[in-house]
Amino acid sequence: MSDKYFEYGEVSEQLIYPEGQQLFEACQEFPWIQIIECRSLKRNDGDVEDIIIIDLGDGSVPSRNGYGVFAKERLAVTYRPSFATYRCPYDVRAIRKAFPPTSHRNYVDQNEPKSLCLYFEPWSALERTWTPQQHLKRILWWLKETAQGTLHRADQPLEPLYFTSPWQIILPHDFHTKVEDRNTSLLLHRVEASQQSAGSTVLIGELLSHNQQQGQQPGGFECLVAICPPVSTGFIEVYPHTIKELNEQLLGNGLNIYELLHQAAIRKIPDGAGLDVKQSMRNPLTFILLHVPILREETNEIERFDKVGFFTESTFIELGNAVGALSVCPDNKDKVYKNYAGKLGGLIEIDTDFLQQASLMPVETKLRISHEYARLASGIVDDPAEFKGVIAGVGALGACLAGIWSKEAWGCWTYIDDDTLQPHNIIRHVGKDFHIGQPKAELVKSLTSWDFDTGLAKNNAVVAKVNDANNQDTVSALKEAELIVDVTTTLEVPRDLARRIETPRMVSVFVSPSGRDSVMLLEDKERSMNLGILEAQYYRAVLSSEWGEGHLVGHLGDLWVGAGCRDVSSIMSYELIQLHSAILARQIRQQVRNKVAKIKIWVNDDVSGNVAAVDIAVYPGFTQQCGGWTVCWDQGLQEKLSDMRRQRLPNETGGIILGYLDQKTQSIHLVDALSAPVDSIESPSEFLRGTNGLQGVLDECQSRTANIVRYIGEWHSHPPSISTNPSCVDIGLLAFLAKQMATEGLPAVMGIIGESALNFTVGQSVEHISDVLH
Amino acid sequence: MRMLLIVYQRCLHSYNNYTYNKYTHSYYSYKIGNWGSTVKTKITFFPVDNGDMTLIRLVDSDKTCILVDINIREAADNTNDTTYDVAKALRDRLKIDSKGRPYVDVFLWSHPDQDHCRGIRKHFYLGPLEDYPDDNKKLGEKRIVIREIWSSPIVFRRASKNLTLSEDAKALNKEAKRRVEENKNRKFVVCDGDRIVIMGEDQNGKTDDLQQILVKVDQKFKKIRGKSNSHFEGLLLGPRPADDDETEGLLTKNHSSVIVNMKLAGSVLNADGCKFLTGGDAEVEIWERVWAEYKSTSDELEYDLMQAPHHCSWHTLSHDSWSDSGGEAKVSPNARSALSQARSGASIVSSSKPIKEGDQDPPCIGAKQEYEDIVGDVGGIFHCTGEYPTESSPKPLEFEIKASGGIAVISSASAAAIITSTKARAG
Repeated sequence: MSDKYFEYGEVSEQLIYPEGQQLFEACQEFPWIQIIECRSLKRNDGDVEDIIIIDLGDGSVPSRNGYGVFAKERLAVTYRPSFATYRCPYDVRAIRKAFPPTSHRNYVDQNEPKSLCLYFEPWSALERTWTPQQHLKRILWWLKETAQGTLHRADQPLEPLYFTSPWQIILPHDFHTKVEDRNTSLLLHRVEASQQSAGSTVLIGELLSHNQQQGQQPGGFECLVAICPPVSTGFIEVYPHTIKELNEQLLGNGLNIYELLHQAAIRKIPDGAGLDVKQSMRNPLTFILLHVPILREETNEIERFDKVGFFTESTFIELGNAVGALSVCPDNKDKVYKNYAGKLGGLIEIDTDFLQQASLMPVETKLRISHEYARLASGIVDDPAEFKGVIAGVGALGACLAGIWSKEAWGCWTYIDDDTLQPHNIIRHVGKDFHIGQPKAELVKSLTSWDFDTGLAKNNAVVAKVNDANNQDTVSALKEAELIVDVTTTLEVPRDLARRIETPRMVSVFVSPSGRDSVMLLEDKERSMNLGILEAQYYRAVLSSEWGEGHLVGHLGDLWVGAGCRDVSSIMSYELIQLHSAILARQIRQQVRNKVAKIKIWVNDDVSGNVAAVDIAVYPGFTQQCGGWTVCWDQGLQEKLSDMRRQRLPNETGGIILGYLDQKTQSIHLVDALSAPVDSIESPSEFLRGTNGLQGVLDECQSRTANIVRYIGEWHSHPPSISTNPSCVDIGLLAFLAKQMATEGLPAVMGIIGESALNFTVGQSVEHISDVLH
Repeated sequence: MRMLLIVYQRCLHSYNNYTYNKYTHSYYSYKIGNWGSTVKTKITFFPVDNGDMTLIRLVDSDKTCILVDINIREAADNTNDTTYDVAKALRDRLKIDSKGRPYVDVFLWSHPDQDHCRGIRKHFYLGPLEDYPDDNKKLGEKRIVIREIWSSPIVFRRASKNLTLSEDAKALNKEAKRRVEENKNRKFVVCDGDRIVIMGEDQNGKTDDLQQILVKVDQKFKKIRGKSNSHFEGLLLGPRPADDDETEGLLTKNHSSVIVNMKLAGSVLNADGCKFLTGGDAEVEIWERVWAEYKSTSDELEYDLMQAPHHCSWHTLSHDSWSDSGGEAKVSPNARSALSQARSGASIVSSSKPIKEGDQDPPCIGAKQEYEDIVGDVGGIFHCTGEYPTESSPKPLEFEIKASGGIAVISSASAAAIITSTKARAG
């Protein structure tokens, strides 16, 4: 081979591995290959590599490409079984010495031909589908894409290391914002446990002030952080072997590594008093980190930071000396001082001989996760995620939601709950045994704060009832929040908060007593359809839908449907809590993007594992003041009444009204209205409601809704052109109803639907007239 | 090459006997005729054995098509013959006009040898467009309309000992003359179908009255169908017969070959996407004369892509005979210089049979070695249409011009894509 090409291995008569032989045969058959010769490379450790030297090119590499890849390239396609541990054992080397320094190459030893990085997958996965023929085609693809510049994306990070790095450096998440702070410097220390494992040693990097550093345990590594000016593309595309090589790479970008290292060392030494020499400064390994801000081409703003780390076999003092940054006090070897020569305008003396010889070992360097990255990795790109929110109730379900959203870094939450963790909670709550007795809000806060780097979590805990208007912490949390997620599984919290005008948008979620279903009631952004309105419509869906029949099976008749999982004796596995939590967490996150109100139910089929989602139509609400009572209904109900009236015209028709009362708020919520029983008598001037089947319907209604929805009154229609005011007969009926309802201390409602209006009258039987006149 | 076929027999599915007609793919023809959405300038070399047939499709708004020569052999037209159906491959790449007729904008006829116009009568319409008789035929059977002919002035010569013409050549010659007459009669204002441009002056003043439809040798031209085209520039390098050729009776068809170095745009923004040098069957003397003219301005001869003249014949590069010399044949340094102004990564294409060791010429192994050296120096590549992608089953060799400049072969398809686009007969 001429000077043009590397001498890779030695010419050999034969290939020693069957795999090498197969590769050779594939080359023979491949239309775009001319085989030049076979070679063999024996390494010092006895490892032998089969080598086939070929000319390869099918013309798909564009002529005059700016990357310097030839349409036909001389390559070594090789097989080396021991490589399978690190990467593909079939290596491909560019034998042409002038082969351009492209990206997507494997790390190779010094003075070896460049190795093309053809595959993303590890060999263990790749070997399932790999064939020599496809391998050769893959090389063509690599050359073509590289020559077109399409293999290397603009945002391509540095190539991963394709050997087992004996070290791993973990840096703080905010490293790039703090690295330029002159008062801090990076120190590495080992993670104790990792030393015992067979793999690489993990070193944790911390940015510490000079004072903090003095107090550190011995045994750490000193670091020189070379801060580069911003560049538009990552320029360290191939790991250098020596500081000299690194300098050559940087020179191409107008940077001088010696100068950068000088500045890095200078930054570490405080002015005046100098620095006490620590054991770490005499450690024969020093960490060098290149910190490279990468600009986005269009906007010229910094879009990311590349970090390239190396260990070099010199002490910090040697390096500092060599870059002319520090001087050791001749009288006191335990003290180093800043070399002021440069600052005073003198020449910085740089020991280039020393630096040129200094070898570099690439080290895998990672950052801890930032919130932004957590969101990116969770696919949360466009959603606003920095808003403040309240999770009211961090029992089994609430704590699960909190955990999920914390992992996604979605929202800054205040967890409000007055409860403490009880022994029976352990079964379904994220809390651990040692948390028993701790307030749930506090324990959820501390668990979520461990998700990310110290100081990142901004979640708060308030141990109180969320509707406690006297608790200042609660009040201010609600005031600042943009979203309240009600997971209290109580009646009162959503109803109380929903009535307050200052309350932000709310969503109420719960799991049915059996664990089969979960429910989400989400207010619209303007809160014109608040939880109070949505609750009644949810019950109507329970009554009228097929899934409603088994929806609340297992309720204890205790007037709240979602309380099942709070009960000591209830039977519900953690699986179901997690299943519904995951659905609800994702749905809430996605649905709050939209402005509209939503009622959704998820029904889990335990046999098939299928979860059916049910969307309930949401209607705007109406209210009518009747004496001290507020009657609340919605457009859906009104349309239903209109329909029933129209179908029976010219006759009047009617039936019973179902709903519930809230004595505290003096409100009557109408849920549904039934059509006339079959034994009713309808005429153009009168309606007589029958009784057939009514008791059964009422029983079913109470059973389906945990006794919440019950008989509330009557409705009937008036013919066209007749007002919706009650007639004398109607008043008589109302009096009868009120008297009967009074035995339970309840008022009675009478609704009259006419051509264009719906009118309610509330009748209540009172002992003294003054009770209603005050 | 030895190949062992191992058949793992389990069960062979039986398929219905599908019958295929070569020309039932009219819908697909039309679709492919639109060339997809990512439009690039393309140059397609069809596998026509020793002969030329090259289609250039520009990236201008009309997607102007220039066809350089044709060589459609009977075997390629025969449905029972496995020879690649180049006529269908060509038609698949052509546009259809508003009357539903397939057409090329330009047919560049380098010279009247049979292997440069074989099949013209069968596949192309020759005559006044108002008499086009195929409108009621299936698309695949309609003859292709030639909107404009670019022809060597040799059409004005009478047949002689040195100029024997095939039936195809005679027909095309007649059509060229008809168009010249039509131009004269109509004061050079003619429509598509009557257009012709004469590439090079003829001697004895035969072309003096044709200045409006004449491109002179060493002249650059941009007009296609009467309009300047910003995506195209041609430099006419030949025909370049010696003054004494005719008097000595030496004028051959090969000496009359049209040689054009075409500059083709890669995009609206890049006029120099690719330089494509095509020179018919021009032989060594012609290339020596080209070099004599251009050695001081050799950049005019630069190319990204060159069609190896005369199907990779040794006579392009040497005055000696390859077979007689026993390997001692000398290359003409001047002819070689004219043909070696390759740009970085350039390709040379031999439109020929597969190239074998031995005395065969054309194509000649010695010429191939010279061309491989030429492109080897610039990291380029040498192709042979008879070997692309394989000798046993050649297919069109298609280059695209990158928007930023430079050419690349459009990569070969996957095995599955090839299989599913090939008829599979099972018993």
